[in-house]
Order: sequence, then C-alpha cells, then structure tokens
Amino acid sequence: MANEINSANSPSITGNVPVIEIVHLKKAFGDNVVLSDFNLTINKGENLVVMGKSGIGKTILIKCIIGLVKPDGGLLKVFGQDISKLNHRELDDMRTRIGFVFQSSALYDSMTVRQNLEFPLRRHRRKKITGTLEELVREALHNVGLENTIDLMPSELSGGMRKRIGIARSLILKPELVLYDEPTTGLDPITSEEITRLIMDLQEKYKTTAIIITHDTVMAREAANRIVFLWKGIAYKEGTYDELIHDQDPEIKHFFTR
Amino acid sequence: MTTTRKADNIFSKSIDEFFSEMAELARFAARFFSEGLKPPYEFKEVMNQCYEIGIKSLVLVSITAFILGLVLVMQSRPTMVEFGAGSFLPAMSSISIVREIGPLVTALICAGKIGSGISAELGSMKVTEQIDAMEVSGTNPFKYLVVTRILATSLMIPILTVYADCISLIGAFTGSNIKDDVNLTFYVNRVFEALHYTDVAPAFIKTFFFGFIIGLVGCTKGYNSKKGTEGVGKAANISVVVAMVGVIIIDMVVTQITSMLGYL
Repeated sequence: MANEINSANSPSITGNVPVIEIVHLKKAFGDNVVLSDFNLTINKGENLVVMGKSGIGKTILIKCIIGLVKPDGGLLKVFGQDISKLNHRELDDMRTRIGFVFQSSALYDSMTVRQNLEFPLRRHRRKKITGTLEELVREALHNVGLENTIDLMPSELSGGMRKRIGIARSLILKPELVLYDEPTTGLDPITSEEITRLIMDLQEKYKTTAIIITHDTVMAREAANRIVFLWKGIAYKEGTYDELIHDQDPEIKHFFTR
Repeated sequence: MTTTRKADNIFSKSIDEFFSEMAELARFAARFFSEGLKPPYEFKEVMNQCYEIGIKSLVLVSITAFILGLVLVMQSRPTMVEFGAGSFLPAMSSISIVREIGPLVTALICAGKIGSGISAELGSMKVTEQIDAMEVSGTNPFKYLVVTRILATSLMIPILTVYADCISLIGAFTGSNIKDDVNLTFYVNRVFEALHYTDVAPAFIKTFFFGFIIGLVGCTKGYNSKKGTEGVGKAANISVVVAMVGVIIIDMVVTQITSMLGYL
C-alpha cells in the first residue's frame, strides 16, 4: 500500500481530471531528505488532506506545488504544466489559478486589510476578473464574515480573524486550486471548527480543489474526501478518514489515537 | 600555547566571517543591479520608501545637525580667538560641516535608524512568510522590497545630507551669536566665500555611496535573516554595525581619492 497512490480507487466525489500530478518527487536540504519518492495525483474538485508529524515535509510539498521551493527531482505537473519548465511569467500566470493560505496568515503588517486584499488583484494584472476592486474586496470580506475590519491593520486583528483574512486574500482571485497550510494551527477548538466550516462553505461556493495540510483530525474528518499520510518522504498511506483510523499500521495508529 | 591557539582560531574565524560577509554583500549588490535594471519598475514603491526613509528621518537629522553645528562653533571659538582667527569661524565651520561632519553624521544616524529599520522589517516579513505571500501574489519580492529600498536610501541620504548641512550651518550661526554678535548677511557671505566646488562636489557624491551601502546592508541582513525572531534582532544589530563600518571605509576611500586628485 505504501507509496501506492491512485486516486481513481479512492472514494472520490470528483471526476477524474487531474489537477496535480506528482511523480517521484524529491527534495532534500543538505543531508535532511524531506521528500524521497513522493507520488500523488489530485483530481478536480477533490479535498485532499495531507497529514503527518511536524517537520516531515508537508509544507515543503505544497511550496513545491506553487513554485516557492524547487524540487531536486521528479515530475510535478499542475494544471497539466510541468512546474520546472515554466518561466517567471508562466509561473505567475499559473499562480493566479492557485490560492495559498499560509500557516502564519502572512498578512502584510504595513498594509490595512483592504490593501492586503487588493494586493493580489493589483499585482496579477493579467488575470481577468469581473468587478471593481472595492466590490471584490467587499465580497471577499463578506465571505469570511469580516466586513467591518476593512480599514483595520493586521495588528488589530485576533488570530482567528487573521486566518479568515488570509483565506479571503487567497480566494480573491477566484482560484481553481487552494492550498491550505495548517489553517487551524494555534486556534482554540471553537475557532478551529469555525475555520473548518468556513473552508468547507467556500469550497462548496467556488467549487475549488483543495489540499489541506493539517494535524487537526477533526478538520481532516470534516473536510477530507481523501487523506494522505506523509512519512519518510513518501505518501505512506492514503484513504478516507474512516479507513485510516481503523488502519493497523503502527505509525498510522499512533498518529490517529494520540 | 593553548591560549595562543585559541586566539588564532578566533582570529581566523573572524577573518572567514569578514570575507563571507563581503561575499554575501557582493552577491546581493550584483543581484540588485541585474534585477533592478529589468522592467517592470516599482516607481510607486520607490516613492513610498523615499517618504518613509526621508521625511520620517527629518526630525532626528534636524536635531542632531543643529546641535553639531552649535557645539562645533562653541568648542572651536576659544582656540581660534586665542590665535586671533575668530573671524575665520564661519569659514572653518562651513568647510568642516559640508566636507565631513554633515555627510558622515547624517550617514551614521541613518545607518542606525534606517538600516536597522529595513533589516528588522524585511527579517520579520521573512519569518512570517510575508515575502513568500508576495511571491505567490505575482510580485518579485526582491524588486518590490530590496531594489526599492536601496534606491530610496541612495536617493534620500544625499538629500538629507544637504538638509543637515543647512541646519548645521544655522546651528553654527547660533553658536557664533552666543558670545559674539554676528550679522547674518556677513555670516552667509563668509560661508559662501569659503566654500568651493571642490568642497561641495566630492562630499555630495560620496553620500550616494553612503546611501547605497546603508540600504544594501540593511536589505541583505534582513532578507537573509534566519532562525526566527531571534534572527531578526541579530540581523538588525549586525546591519547597523556593518553599515557604519562601511560608511567610514567609503569616507576614507573618497578622502584618499579626493586628495590624490588634488582637491584637498
């Protein structure tokens, strides 16, 4: 089963149009091998949750997908395009189709919420989106229920609000694929639940494909069509939440019953 | 013997660190020129940074420059009067201020205020993934954050220096009037009589290099900062030290060149 990933066999609710294809992906930092032979296919409309211990390479994986980290080897295709063969402009164009929610929210401290949300709209000039900046910002804030924060600075927001604004910013370009890096980390259980619900609602509304990196088993249960367990640099196991919690593999068992 | 070996090790380590520091700055400078020359240009952000760096430093520069001019005259006056050269005070103070004190003190103050600010800002942006967020938002973070800041410091330090020179001369005039009664017109005339093109030009030109090194060091240290928030503090600290040493070295080199060209 290890490293045998075939989303066609998974109980996916989606059609089999691959959005991401990863074959023999490798990434190391010096002697520290993070991804040794990672294989994965994600189909359109799928909500894939990637789980695994801290420092195992989950964030590196999604940073490879969006081109922030260059893999050492293997093939990584996003929307059918080999990431390693894209020039700067092509990579920027591809990134307009991907939203990225950072673990730390990564809101620009020197900008207001409005300016934070306007930033991707102003910078990705070639992306055609209907509506004025004001309308799009208002809609994004409405989606996350924070219309009244438009002129606040990030330092004036709570952790949960920052996460919501981070999600709003990643969705403002109406991406087809959204990568969430531990969206509930550092939040209390109630706020985590709200963020999970929000992500699910937005997925439903915009019909996006998602990869969610998380340690939060509650979120995994709620959000995942399929879970991939990353261990020793490979996609060690995959399955639904129910399949994995009943798995007898000691690593999986230890992770889900801790 | 062990102590000597230890001292040797520390010495060789320091030399290694110095050269790796220089190599890092050289690489960053090369990247600044290669990326800064390519379109698209971030004019709006350059103007924004000019405001942040220039206008927000005015109060600090004004206070320091005024006091320096005042103290320079107050301390020089007794000796000059003793030698019967009291009437040369305006000339002496203006040449000292324009050639050396104005540019050097402005650069050192800015190395502390602006250099550390840039370094801390970029460092914290890096550890909180804001630089990555910028990249996925279709922006080249090096151009947007680094090129604009280095350009802004290179443009604003010369302007701040000219401003500081003027304020310092006002301070010097005030200092002259504490013990003597000096007419403003007389003072201004003596200042302009004393100053030549060869005093002003080299002093002005070197301020561009001062600005460049302050921006370059601040950006290099901030952009390459590691180890979380601890690294940000360290980067800000080191950037001030390196920028100040850089400014003094540039000052020495420019003085040597000016001397070789016969302007001193």
